[in-house]
Amino acid sequence: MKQISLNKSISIEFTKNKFLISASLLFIVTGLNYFYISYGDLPKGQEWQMIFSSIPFLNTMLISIMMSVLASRCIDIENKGNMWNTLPTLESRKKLFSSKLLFGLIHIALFCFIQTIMILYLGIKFMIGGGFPIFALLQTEFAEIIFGMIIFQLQCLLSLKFRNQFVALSIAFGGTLAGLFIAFVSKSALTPWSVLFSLSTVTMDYDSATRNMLLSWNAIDIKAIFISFLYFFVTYKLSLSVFNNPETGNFKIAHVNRKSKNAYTILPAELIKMKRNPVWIPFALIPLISAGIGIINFLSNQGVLSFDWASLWTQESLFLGLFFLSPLIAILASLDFRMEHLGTNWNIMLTSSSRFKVLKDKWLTVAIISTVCMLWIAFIYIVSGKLIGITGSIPKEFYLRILASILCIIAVSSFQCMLSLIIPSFAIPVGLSFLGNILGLLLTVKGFFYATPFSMLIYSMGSTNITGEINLPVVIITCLLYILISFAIGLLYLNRTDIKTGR
Amino acid sequence: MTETILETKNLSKKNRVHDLSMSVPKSCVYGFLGPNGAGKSTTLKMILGLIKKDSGEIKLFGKKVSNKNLLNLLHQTGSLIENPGGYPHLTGLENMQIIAKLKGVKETEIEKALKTVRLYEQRDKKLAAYSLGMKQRLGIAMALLGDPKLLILDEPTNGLDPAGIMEIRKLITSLPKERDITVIISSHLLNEIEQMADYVGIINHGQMLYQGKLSNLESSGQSLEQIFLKLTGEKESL
Repeated sequence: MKQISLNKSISIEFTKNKFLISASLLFIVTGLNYFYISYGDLPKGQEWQMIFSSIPFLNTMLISIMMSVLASRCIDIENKGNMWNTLPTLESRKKLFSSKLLFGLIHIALFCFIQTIMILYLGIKFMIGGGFPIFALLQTEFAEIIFGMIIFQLQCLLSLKFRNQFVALSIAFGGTLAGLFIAFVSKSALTPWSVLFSLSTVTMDYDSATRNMLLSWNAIDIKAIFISFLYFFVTYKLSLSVFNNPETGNFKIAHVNRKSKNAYTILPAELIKMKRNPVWIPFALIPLISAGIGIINFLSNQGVLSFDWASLWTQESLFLGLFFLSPLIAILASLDFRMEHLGTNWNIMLTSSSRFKVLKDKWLTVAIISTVCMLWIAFIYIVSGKLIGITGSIPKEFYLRILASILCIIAVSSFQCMLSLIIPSFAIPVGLSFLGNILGLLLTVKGFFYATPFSMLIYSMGSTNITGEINLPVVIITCLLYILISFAIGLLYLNRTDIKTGR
Repeated sequence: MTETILETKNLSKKNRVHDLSMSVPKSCVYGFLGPNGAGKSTTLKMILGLIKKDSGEIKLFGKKVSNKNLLNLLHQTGSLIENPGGYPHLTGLENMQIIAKLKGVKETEIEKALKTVRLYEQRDKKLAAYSLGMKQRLGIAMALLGDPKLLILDEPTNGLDPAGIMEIRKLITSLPKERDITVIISSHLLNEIEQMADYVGIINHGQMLYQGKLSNLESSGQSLEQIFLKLTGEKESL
């Protein structure tokens, strides 16, 4: 049989993945990247250092999420279409893997190319003098490509191993969160998600006497480059070996009979579906990781932070509130709707129950589980504060903020349910939520607290300032509005469009 | 006069179904025949409200179907459209519990439905471990929950082995007699329909070509296969 050329394989890959979708993702990611690096004042004489120091911070998240979403989608389209029985009969597994890797490489290369143009534009716009740091640019882009491909390969591996993308993407988010935190503790690439930070071209030193941030160019770190190559080859070898396994993509199910006592259960239908789904793992673990690293940070930075409840909250909830809580809700909503998008389940659901009830039950399931997660975050905060011996009472505003956050979580749940209903992919609504969250953060910084459900959640959690003012009546009204609009759009979509199955 | 349980008048969906009128008498097996892509599934989905009709009228149990009464009418029907659905990470029993809750049916009925399709012993196995035949039977069990008056089955014997086909056939033909259930079964397998149906409707390119008693066709001296090929124009292409 004549083998398909690599060019053709890549073009097939782009056709399968609908380039418009990945191009939109690329557009949003680069847009956010520009928004972030051009935001704020650039310190005189250290403009380039400032730009190149902010890139690894944001891109540890942006590239990680973009590449995870792309890889997950890349593998999931084959899972959903049961293509693992067909594709290996048409082209070699190695070529199949190579075409997927090239698909990822083209995206990260495009990202770097657009970023270069943006950096050059910033240089012209702000008339930055002192010579263009071409070496820093090359090193940064090398780091981004290596980092992007490590994440892409890792995610391919996870998405193949866990057909249920819930686990695969939860690990991606947990890893990104851990990578981000670890970057504040150590510059070494302790996880694959810390690679970009370890290759950063700029070092930031905080001078506690002058309360200034000192930025300086880094020398090439051979050890960091070696470790990043090591990650690259290990993830490459591991994912290739999974691809080469003839049983790749075959769903292995233990044929164990489960003992059921009787046919009765008091669980609602939506909660029965959550059985044996590892929903609790990310919801339990991600707040724990966040709190754990937050406490370490809190205790090791006592020179800068005060030993009180307000400071502890900023450390424990900062990254969770600013970046990860909304995507966590998005993962849950995607999981809940994926169960219907797969196969012909919409047919059964919508001939057995009203569209209103189907949507309402799904939204409530996502909202309730996410609310429990918020209470879990609050519980960890109180217990950990007591354990490390913080005295005094918890600020009154904390309880108000938890209440407001729960309302915002219910609004975000409604919004994500609408997205997951309309977009049949698992990864895209999750990616959109992450990017929406970063946009929400930027809007919050600008003072547009109520502009999106994400910005409202960030504002309500008060991760940077727990004792700051919060306008609860406005939060309640805006939440209700978001819930109503999202629910109405979802219901309208279910009522007006033909039901498509097996997407 | 025979009571009609389902009636459509000039039912249309752009490019798929054109002015289709069908009439299904009560307590019979109605074979809905047509080649692949003829519009069978689209018609059945329009009847169940899964896709919107562009024009035409649907009457279920003598009542004109509207958005307001659709769900009430559907509660008296059971359906298995396209491939059997379900949640692979859950057991057969758990899948049935979900449908029972959605239909508002007592969970005591689960046992009855599972026994009817002979899956009761396999109820604690995960759906992912079921064979295609078992999934089809579970799909029928889901459709049977709530004692429906009308059962709509879209190619229910797809992918089944001969023994499985025989089993489903036996089950379907017993339903009108033993439980007064009307069954609409769509298929492109003529032999299968010939052995089950009392009435047939033959559709091609979204248009109804023939509708009536199967015995009337047979009395013409021609086999169902000959008539089907003649009506659908497939004879010429053979």
